[in-house]
Amino acid sequence: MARILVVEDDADNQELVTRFLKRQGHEVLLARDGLTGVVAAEEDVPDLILMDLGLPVLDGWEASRRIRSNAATAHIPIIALTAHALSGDVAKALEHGIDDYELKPVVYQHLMKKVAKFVKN
Amino acid sequence: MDLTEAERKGTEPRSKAQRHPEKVEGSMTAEPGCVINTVNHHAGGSISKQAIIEDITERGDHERLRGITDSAQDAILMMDPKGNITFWNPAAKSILGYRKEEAMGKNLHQLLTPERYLAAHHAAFPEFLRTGRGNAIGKTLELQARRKDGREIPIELSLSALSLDGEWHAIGIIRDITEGKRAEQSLRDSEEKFRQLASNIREVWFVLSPTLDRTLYVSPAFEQIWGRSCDSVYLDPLSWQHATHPDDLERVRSFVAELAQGQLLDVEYRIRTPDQIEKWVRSRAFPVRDTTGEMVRVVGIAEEITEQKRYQAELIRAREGAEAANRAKSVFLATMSHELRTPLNAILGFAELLEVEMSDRGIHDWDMDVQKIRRAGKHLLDLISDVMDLSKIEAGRMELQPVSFDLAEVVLDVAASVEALAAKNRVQVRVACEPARVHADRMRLRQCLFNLVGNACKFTRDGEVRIEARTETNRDGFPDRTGYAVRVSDSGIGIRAEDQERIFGDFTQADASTTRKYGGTGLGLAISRQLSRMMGGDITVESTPGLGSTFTLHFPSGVNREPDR
Repeated sequence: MARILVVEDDADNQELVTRFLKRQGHEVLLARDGLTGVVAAEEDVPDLILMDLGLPVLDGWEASRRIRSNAATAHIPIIALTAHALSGDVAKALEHGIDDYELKPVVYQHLMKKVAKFVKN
Repeated sequence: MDLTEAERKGTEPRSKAQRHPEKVEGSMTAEPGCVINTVNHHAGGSISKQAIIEDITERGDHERLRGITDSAQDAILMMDPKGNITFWNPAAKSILGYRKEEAMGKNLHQLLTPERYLAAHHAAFPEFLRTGRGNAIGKTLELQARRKDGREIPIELSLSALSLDGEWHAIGIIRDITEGKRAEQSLRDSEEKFRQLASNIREVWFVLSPTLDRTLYVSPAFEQIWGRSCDSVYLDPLSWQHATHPDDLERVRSFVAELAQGQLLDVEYRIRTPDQIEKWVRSRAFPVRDTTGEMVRVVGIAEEITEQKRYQAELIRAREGAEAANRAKSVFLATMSHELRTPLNAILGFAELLEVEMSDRGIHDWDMDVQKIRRAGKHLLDLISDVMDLSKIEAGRMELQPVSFDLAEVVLDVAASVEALAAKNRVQVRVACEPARVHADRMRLRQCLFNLVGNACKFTRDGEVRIEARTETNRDGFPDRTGYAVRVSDSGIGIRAEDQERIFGDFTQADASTTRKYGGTGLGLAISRQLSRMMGGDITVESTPGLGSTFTLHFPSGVNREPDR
């Protein structure tokens, strides 16, 4: 179906996203920190990126900004995963070029609908 | 003077004497009658006549003299060598009560001297007659006089002796000093009161010269507080400097310099008693000015505030401790919240995964159990969020982020998000809201509304929930008295009057059992009300048990805030 890059440092969350995505038939690429995510995006050019915002090395906002400013990856849609719905993180994320966001705790079936929407386009 | 000669010369300006030559046709002694007939008439003594008119050389002078004695405010009287009264002016009547005809010829001492002084007068009288001298002559004395009505009054008597034909007469001028005495007495009383007050009060009163270099008064409390004698500040008005704590001296000096410039002084500082006890004192002083604005003295009060200072310091320590504890609590909660959420997210995620993967395999035996795990997990997450919100509000760390948005959009969004719950309870949600541009924290406003609408659906079965938004004018507390009111009415179980305020408290639902029956954290209303108040609004409630409740979210429209970009 689609190649999806998941940038997430928490092992449980990685596994959950991976299994839900695979259940939908998607191919999953993993990165554990922001910088690795930026590199993976450039090397593999996935169809979609799921980006946690609270990441080590390089946080999700900065990683997104770099992906957006790189001509090779600027077109890849990014969905942010954030626990901080209320603190202005969403607005900040949108400013950094994120296309959509999903609040934690993630309801995965809900997230999958969102993924389907982006992958179809 | 030789008038005829003067007239002959015709060169001298005409004096009164020249204008009335008939009045000086003879010496006073030669023709007394024409000049002093009034005195003569009453006193009937040629010697008296001579005495009074000694220097009077003409009728005009006599009239002037009479005018003076008639108009004098003081009693003027005269006594002949027999001790009898020979002159009595109108003021003597008003002061002493006797008419002239009653007094003339009477023995002066018998008439006016209180009994107890008579003996002394009689004793002194022969000496006076012989020499014209006496203790009272040429002096002003304060005495008592007895009036006609028997009342004694305080008088001031000026007595002089006059020798006429080798005999001594006395002239007395008497002033009624009743008023003066009264004023003196009331001044003494007032001073006494002040002294009693100043001596008995714990505060130190002081009065200084305007240049602050002289101590005019310092009350005895000074000795109690400073442990130094009052005399020490009379002797050296700057000796307070030695008693002032060295660390505070400069500060106090600068205040005192301002006081000398006419400023009010109010300063707290430390002093040391001679036995090295440290005390806190507060001194306040102000300049007293006369009608021209000139500083005439400085008046002040000083008190010991050692206890207050100690108490204050304790309060500050306690407050700092409480603040530190509160900060620690906030940090703890933030950390805990993150630490609790991470495993909970995993629990919720894997429960969901279990549910779908079992469903994929056609296994539905444990669907209910998995649902329960998910529901309990979700509830726990809500609790954590609510506790976090509440602690943020209480710590003053909740920040609102006002933006411009359409209120109707948020209302419809909230109505949509309770659809599932409403359907479950067979509740119809109706919305009446016109598009309205408002300026507020959209997320927090939504949180409040979601809470109210969620509650309405939660506590209603087979009924209706109405959401109506309208502008609200003339509401106190709103910046321009206008804003919005969003009414959320339900046909649910209602709230008893006595519970209507309590439900806004932390962790309270009207009945503890409602939490089990209806769910919820019990924090929603507390948070919503606090949020609404942070926005400058409020949440109010009206309810009839059994019929339903109406919660209204009021908030200012914020039309006067910065315009949209």
